[in-house]
Amino acid sequence: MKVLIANRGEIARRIERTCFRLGHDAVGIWVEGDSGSEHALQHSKTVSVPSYLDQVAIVEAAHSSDATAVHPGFGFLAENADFANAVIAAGLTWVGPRPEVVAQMGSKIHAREIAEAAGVPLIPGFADSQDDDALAAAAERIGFPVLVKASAGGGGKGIRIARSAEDFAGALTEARAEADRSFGDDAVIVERYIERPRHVEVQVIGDRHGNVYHLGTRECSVQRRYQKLFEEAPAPNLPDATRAGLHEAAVRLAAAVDYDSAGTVEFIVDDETGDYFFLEMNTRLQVEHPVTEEVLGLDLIELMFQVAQGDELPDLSQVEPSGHSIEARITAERADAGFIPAVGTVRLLDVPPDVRWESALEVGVDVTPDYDAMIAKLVVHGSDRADALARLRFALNHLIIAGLETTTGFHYWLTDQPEIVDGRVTTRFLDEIDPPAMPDMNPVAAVRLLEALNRGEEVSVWGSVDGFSLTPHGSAHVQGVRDASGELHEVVLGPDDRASAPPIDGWTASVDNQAVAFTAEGHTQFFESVPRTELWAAGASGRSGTGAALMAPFPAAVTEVHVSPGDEVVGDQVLVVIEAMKMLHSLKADGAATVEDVLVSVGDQVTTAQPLVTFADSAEDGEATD
Amino acid sequence: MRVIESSVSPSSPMFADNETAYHELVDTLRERQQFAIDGGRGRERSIQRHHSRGKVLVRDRIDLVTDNHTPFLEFSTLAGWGKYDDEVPGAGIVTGIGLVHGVPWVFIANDATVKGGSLVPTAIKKHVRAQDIALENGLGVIYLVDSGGAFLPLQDEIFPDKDHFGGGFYRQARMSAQGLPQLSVVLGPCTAGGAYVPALSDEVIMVEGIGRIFLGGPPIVKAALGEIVDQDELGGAVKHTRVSGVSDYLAQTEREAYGKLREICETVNQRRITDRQPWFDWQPSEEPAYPIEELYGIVSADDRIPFDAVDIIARLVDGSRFAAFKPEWGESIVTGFARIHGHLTGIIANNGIIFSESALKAAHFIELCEQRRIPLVFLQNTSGYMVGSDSEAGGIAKNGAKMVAAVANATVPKYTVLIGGSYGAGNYGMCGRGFAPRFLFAWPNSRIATMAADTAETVLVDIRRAGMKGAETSEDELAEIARSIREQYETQSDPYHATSRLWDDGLIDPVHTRDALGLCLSLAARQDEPAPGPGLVYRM
Repeated sequence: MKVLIANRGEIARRIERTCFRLGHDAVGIWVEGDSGSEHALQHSKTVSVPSYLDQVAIVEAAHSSDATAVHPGFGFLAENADFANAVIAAGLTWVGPRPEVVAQMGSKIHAREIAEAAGVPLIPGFADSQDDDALAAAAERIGFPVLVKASAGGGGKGIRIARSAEDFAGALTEARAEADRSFGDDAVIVERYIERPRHVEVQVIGDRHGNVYHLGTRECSVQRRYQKLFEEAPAPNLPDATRAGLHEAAVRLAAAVDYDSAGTVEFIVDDETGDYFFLEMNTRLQVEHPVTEEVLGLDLIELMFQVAQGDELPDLSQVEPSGHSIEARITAERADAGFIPAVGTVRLLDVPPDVRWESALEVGVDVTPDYDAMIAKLVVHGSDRADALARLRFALNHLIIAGLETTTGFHYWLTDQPEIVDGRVTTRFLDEIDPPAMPDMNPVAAVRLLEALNRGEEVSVWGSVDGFSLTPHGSAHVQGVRDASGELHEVVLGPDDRASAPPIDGWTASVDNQAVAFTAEGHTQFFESVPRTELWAAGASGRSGTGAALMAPFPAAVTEVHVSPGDEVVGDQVLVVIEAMKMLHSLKADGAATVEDVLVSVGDQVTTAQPLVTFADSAEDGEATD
Repeated sequence: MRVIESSVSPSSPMFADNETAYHELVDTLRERQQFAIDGGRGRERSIQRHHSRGKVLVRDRIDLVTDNHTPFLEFSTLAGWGKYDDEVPGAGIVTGIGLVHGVPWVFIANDATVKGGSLVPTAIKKHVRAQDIALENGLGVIYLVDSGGAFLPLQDEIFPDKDHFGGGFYRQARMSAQGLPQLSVVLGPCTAGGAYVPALSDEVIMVEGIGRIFLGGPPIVKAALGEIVDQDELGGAVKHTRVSGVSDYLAQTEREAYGKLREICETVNQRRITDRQPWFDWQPSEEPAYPIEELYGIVSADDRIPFDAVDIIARLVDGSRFAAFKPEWGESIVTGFARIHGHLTGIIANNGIIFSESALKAAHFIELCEQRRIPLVFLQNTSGYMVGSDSEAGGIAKNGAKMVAAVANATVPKYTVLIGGSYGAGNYGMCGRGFAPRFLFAWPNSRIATMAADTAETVLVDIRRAGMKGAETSEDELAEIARSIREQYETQSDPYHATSRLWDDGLIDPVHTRDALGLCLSLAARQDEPAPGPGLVYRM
């Protein structure tokens, strides 16, 4: 078998690994401009395609490279039934569930119907009437607290919680009004409100011989905007009945559709009652599959190949988890700044031994806003949960990804939080805390280290007599450094400052001749030297010369422009919306001002600090807020 | 080459006495240099005012431009010492050599905290000397201009003569034509003649708000034309960069200007300091086997007690290795080959009086080095050529002349350090200022004069006594004559008197000698081989 891996980055590399272990040739795809993706696969060739979503080109790539099978990974086309059909129609083996199952589960409504029919519990709710009394009666039936939410909803708008029957009328009125305002539709639904919801999911796998097995639970409650950041297997602190119920419900649902690949059934678990409710089913391999593999000693991708080839699965009904596994999903984001996307070039990379490192990062790879912010998964396996947490903490403290801001320091902080240590995190955890400020290292220390380790070239006397002066004036050294957020710092060191390396209590420093990475508490602070020509280039100091302007906080594409020249704007008014790393960011005015000029239009690509909107005679600068 | 076996005993009482005495000399040197850097009446306030205008001090400016991890070789820090009522420390100008992107440049930078950077006669001399260093060593010049122009009360000593201000522009224009880049950053006023420093440059950067260029400032314009105009409108950075084209680049800040300057320096296509040419014999450097600090204990505190030049050489050259030439003949001059920071050199050093044999040996050795294209280093410590009937009968005049003629005509790079006395024609034969060594440095114990003060006293009192022709002259009068002669000679042979007048390129702490020579030698190594000189007529 020769497998075309229709994906990029770490998952492409992961699939290649199993291919090679099983003796399957592999071929990859890459899109020009996706830094490092040409070499994401370590041992196989890659074929250039216009986009990771270009179905025709990908099928063509499979043909041209004599592939016989296609593995979609996750994301992109992994849950696209059309693509699955196209692959099969092209005479290739589709390493995934049957296209019709993909389509069925891809529809939330359809999926809920199947779940209901299979006896899988759904969150109790009522959407049959807009009559006040009918809604109130439904609330009583469901049991307080209940959620009243806009049926056209999204983004947290038009949602109210009613904790008792007395609250209900008020909540209903408010929810309707807000729904009407936000969506132009005041229809609402009522459903059970879970005070302490946890996100627990069950890995399932089925074959074409009628076998469906569950492969245990995963806990994925540490989420932000539905992006998981920290996952573990098995899910901790579940009552036996809940765990067994989850396993059975997942198998029942998968069996109901003759599920024939690896998949995940996601549930909300009420941490107070142990009740569980179906959320959705993902008909693909999951990002966090490694934690399941670690505790079971299985290779899920190997099992997917077996099933896709028509083989019968081994009997997996008796597999039991051994120990505990945790995955830190590391993203290129600034946790201490509202998780704004970070970009940059990987300059130093040091991964501690004895961890499972799922990543295609290499030194020199550019992390751009064009693709997902997830850049790596750090996976550990311990004899029990405490052991796994300790291993993760240790590994994060020794992991160095330098050149761009990442969440490693945030993950390190997580490993110490009581809720995490206790294994009682809910999906609201990250909404309710302020991510910690990261430890801060001084650029002066960086320059002093560079100085100490980076003496002049000794090929000339001019380079070997550092410190020589005929007069009492000792020459100062001037060095610019750029930190990972792109900010420039000028450091001037006199002769005394250069005499010794700086104290770096508590930090570990990694230095090459042009850059320093300081690491403490899992957080890496990076400084790379920049030539003075660049340090002092016109405009390098930021706003000088552009006047008061709204600037792009990071590289992104402009998706919405809400103002035009002459507009009077007020504080908090959204002026421009940009998209980076698949996230929308609203850039708002910081105060009252008159728009002088709008320098961008929808579709423009902008870079950090690029002026987007300028203001006339504004007393206050517009400031980007997320 | 063999390692010198130095007989110096660092534990001897004389060594300790010498050392103590020399430390005082070095302390005085440092104090006086510090005075040149930030001393003088009202200097503190003018430095504050400079800072308050957001301007950078002159030496810091140079640091902002030059490469990290490389030194700045400053010249004649004590130019003007004791002159102008001590109100113009350092002559108000800083000159020297520094690297930018590995290429050596001469810097000529006004110090606006000294009389607003106005140019006294010694400043002009320092400016022109730095240009001559640039020309001879094949270096471009960076002018950091911040000067109120000529110091008008002394205009007759600045303006008209050959090596006055006009000579500076003459050199600038000719260097530019020779392909030695002339770059200016305008950081202050450039009025009248001063306007030609940027205007004659290949590329000019002006800093907005501080840099101004005009032939006549607003008061002159008003007087001449009745036109009332403010100085930025007349000659500000924006005006000259966007309208007149006198300036090529506009910078908002000094730092932006230095960033631009460093960028320009990447585009000049000049040889780097590491671009050694094949004619020059170089190999990696080796530290001397003896500590250089021992020089303090070797140089006699009492100048009547000689010290051995070989012991000095042992502390200056690579590995203390020295291939002595003709060591058993004409021993009062030491000649031989050694390396300084890897550069092969021929060293000529005095051990006192120069006799006929010593002069002939020196002439022989100079010819050898000239033939082999090896640079010459002179270490001067001589009371001059031997007098007396034996010496004259032995032809000391013609033999000394051979040495002088050989020095004058040697075309290999020459470097001179005054490590002791530099008296009489010994100064000539040992490549004094008049013989155009590329660089001349002096130690703070050195003395320079036609003769030593003792000798002068004896000679001149005797002449006076003879001139009296038997007339009554009281011993008191003679004693007074003796005292004044001694005082004149002592004052004028003082090294600070010399360095104030740019008879040298700077007084240096002896422990800096090896590095300073190495830095200077490396400049020659990147140049083409000098054309060999003509044949000489030696008086045999």
